[in-house]
Amino acid sequence: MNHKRFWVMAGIMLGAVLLSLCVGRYPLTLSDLWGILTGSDGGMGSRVFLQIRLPRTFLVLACGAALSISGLVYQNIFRNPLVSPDVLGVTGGASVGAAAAILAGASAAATAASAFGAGIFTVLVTVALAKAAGGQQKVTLLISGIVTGALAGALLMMLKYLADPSQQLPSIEYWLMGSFHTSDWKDVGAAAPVIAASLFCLWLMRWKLQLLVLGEEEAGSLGLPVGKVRLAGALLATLLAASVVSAAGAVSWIGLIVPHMIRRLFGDDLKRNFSLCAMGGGTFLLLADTLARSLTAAEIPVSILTSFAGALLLALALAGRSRKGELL
Amino acid sequence: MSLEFRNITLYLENRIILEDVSFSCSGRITAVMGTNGAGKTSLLKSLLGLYHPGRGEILLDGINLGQLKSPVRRAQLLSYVPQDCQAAGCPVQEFVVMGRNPYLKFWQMPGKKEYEAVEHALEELGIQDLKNRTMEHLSGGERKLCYLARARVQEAGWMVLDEPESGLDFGRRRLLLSRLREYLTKHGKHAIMSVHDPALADAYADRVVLLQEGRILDCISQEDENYEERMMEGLRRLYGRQLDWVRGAAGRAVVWRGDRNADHSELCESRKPGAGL
Repeated sequence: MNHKRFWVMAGIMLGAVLLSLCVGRYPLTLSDLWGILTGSDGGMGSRVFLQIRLPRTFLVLACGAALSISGLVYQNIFRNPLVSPDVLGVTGGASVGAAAAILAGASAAATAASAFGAGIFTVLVTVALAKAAGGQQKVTLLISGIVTGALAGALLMMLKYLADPSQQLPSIEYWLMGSFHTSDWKDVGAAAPVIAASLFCLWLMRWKLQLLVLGEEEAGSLGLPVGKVRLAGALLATLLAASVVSAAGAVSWIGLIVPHMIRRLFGDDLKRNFSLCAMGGGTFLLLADTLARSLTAAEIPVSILTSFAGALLLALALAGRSRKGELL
Repeated sequence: MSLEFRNITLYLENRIILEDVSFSCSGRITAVMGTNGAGKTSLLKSLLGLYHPGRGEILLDGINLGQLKSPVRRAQLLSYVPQDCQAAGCPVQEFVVMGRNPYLKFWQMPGKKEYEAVEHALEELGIQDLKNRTMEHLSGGERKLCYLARARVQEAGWMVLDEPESGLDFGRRRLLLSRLREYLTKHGKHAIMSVHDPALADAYADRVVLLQEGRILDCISQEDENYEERMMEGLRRLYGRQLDWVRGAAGRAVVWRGDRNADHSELCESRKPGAGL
């Protein structure tokens, strides 16, 4: 049963990958792809495929998987299905880093690096605040995340206020909406190793993370070092979210809605849901990105579509639950 | 196998919860009884290392648990059956296999051997048909049996049960504790549990520890000559003078004497100030 689910999801993901590779301003057919892969087509199609479509598809897939796994891990750690990757302030911090870099006239690579560094720094501040506050780590971490998120919001507003309204402000706003329109192999090279390493570590410790559903006391009674597992999980999930933010800007909703839908469909078993969630997140973002660049003549930011789809799916899930008389 | 509490004193939020508590467990099952707020759960949590007593020591087979730093080692010695089930959406098989955690390395996943142990435990408790169901769709009694199965695969020498009878109907309380006793006897293991029902403590425990306001009121073994008198005296001091034994062909039980309009003021007087009903 579990293998069947895996292969069905893998099939859907493969379909989304092929769709993403073929659809665009320069359409490619499956036979074109075959020709490019076998080396018999070395023209314009080959350049579009190898330099634009393939790196973009690869990056979108990795970012979708990273965001959804990040959300799955956060939701498991905090035992709250409404928690998303920005709970520890990662998105807010990364946004400030990117806005400051844009304001300083930095290159795209420097902007990404600044976003990544600021995102990680914000999370470290959040964790340090929670440690200093003491008490129940789960609750204090959430509150500290709200505090650093609010501070980051204030800083971002200040940077926007200082930005040149004709040049810098639109760049900051566009970056905040998230997009893959400039993605190339350099972006893949920068983000993919961090995403792959974090995903691999979380995949290895997925069973320990699953034990956290029992609660602190019960999991501790089974010999689990609860604090260490929670901290390692939160830091790796943050690394995933920060990598995505630095590669593509703030991409919303994937980390919240995909793990939620996977749990509703397949039950609350992190060990089994891990690969399904990664593939589901990749597929969801890939479809949203394909639509974002093919719906209109000008490409629209992908967050607009993920937010629409996410809100709609969550509303449907809520309606389904209230019909059954269940709470979220 | 021995478990001994020596002069345990526990403070929580500047309140004294347990005061100079000393007793040793004997037989298969030791029951801890007392009114709400008497310190039963705090005593069990001190044993599990969740609370740290300010004074005294707990010795398990000669090991001072207060000095045991490794949570894994503690989990190999003690398994825990809490009052409420937390893992609502988890499939039964995955829930039970979590009991193997103390024997797996950090990166290790449960494999064929672990799932075979789960199959065996479910079969032994007669609940193999629940294997693929989720915890949230089980009845209270079935969930408790799943907890027993998890404790079974944990293979600890001592089982710690916090009010195992809570939320169960009259028949299932007996069923659960019978299965527990069967399991302990078959595998040479032991249990310490907090209970509210004196009839269950009398029927299934070899030793009963009575706690009152964080202190030991009495510690009585079934083989004690004056077991019945001491037990009744202790229960009356805890719950009121209307308690009595009744005897029938099937055995004895503790019951309330008198009618529903009887005066229970002495029960209220015996309660600790501030304890919830």
